Amino acid sequence: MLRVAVLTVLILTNYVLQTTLWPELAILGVTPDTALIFIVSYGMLRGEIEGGLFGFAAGFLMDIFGGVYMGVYALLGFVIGYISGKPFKSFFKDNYFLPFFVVLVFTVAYQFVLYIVNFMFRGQLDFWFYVYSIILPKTVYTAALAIPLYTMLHFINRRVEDFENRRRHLFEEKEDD
Amino acid sequence: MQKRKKTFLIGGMCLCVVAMVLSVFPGVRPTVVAQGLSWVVVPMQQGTSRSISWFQGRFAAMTDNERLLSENAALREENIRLALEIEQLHLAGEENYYLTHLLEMRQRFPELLTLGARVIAINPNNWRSRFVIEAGARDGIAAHMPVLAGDAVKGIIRYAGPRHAEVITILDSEFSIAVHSVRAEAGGIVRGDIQLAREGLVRMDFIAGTDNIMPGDTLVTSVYSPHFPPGLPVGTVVSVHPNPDGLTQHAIVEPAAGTARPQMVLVVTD
Repeated sequence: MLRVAVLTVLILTNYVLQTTLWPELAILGVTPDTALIFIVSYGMLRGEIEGGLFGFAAGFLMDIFGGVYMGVYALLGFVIGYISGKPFKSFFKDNYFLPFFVVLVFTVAYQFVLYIVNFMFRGQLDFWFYVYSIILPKTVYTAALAIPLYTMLHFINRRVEDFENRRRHLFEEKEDD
Repeated sequence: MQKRKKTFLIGGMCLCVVAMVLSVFPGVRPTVVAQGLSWVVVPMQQGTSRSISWFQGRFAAMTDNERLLSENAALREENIRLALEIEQLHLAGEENYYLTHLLEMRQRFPELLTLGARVIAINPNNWRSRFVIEAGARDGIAAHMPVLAGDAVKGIIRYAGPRHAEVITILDSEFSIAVHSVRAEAGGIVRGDIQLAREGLVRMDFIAGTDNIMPGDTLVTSVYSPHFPPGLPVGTVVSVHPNPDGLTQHAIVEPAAGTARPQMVLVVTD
């Protein structure tokens, strides 16, 4: 229950900051995609099922308040969260460079899919313009924030896991009595 | 376990795809969920937006204070007090400026029923030019209502929640509007283009090759525009180019409402 509450607050706070604070801190007119960092990081920390659900919830919020087609961001978040949790869960959690590279790769893929959905299908085919003006700066900006945000989420996750473990032991002791 | 995970993956993807297919049909949106979430998200956005404005004001005042401190150490405390007072006055003045501006906008279009609204958030997606205003269906806002900034067309309401509404600006590639040049007595369609949007410009298409559209022509909303009252300023023609087909031409247009994000806009609710 605590985990659901913490993740809900995290998703909502991140969305509010993405729509208010990050535009004020834009570099070359580009804002970082912190939702993607959280989705990838959470998938790596908790595995594919929880990663997928977290990605779905974060994406669904963006769909509701700004998506062109309902479900596009939810699908992208779901798939990215699931894939992040699939092979990387067994990696050493205190290795902060792996999330950096995974976020880097997923940001490029994510922006590329958004280009296809939003522009390529509508006949706007100047791909390299989008690469230089949006995809490349957004990837650099997002990747730069990957390590600090992964560290923060890792810390929160550890605290929540400690709380859950304590609670589990409490019930086990009661059962023994 | 592996089978369960596979089912989870396929189930989740199917759910999203079904949502996408349903959203193609107009009017199919999770309104109840959106309304419920807007009760939480919109106040958070309002609070954060105001806090950012306050911090920006404080930061500006502190920078100013540092200059004064280096000039005269003896007046340090007095300067801090004065800077804070100035900041408060500045905030009051800024609000006064926007309210006066809003009043002027209303007076310019007395025949239109309008509603002023503050901009509280920007769409985080860099592929789009959109923002959120703190007025929604409860204030009489509905989808497709025109949005003005200054005395010109700024955009259109895309979606109205109970307490907020999303605005597509004229720079957004999803935006299009029928326009008319009074001098040339010719018309066309102005629409957003992501490449031109980087330079704060938009594109005008469907101009007949025989039409005498020229740089400097002022464009206003046409009678053929379904959502906009005719005669509202849209922009000024910057350049005109013939299309490869030899029969039509297109023009590059500078929006009359400017490209900066406004703090207040006027929604035509009539």
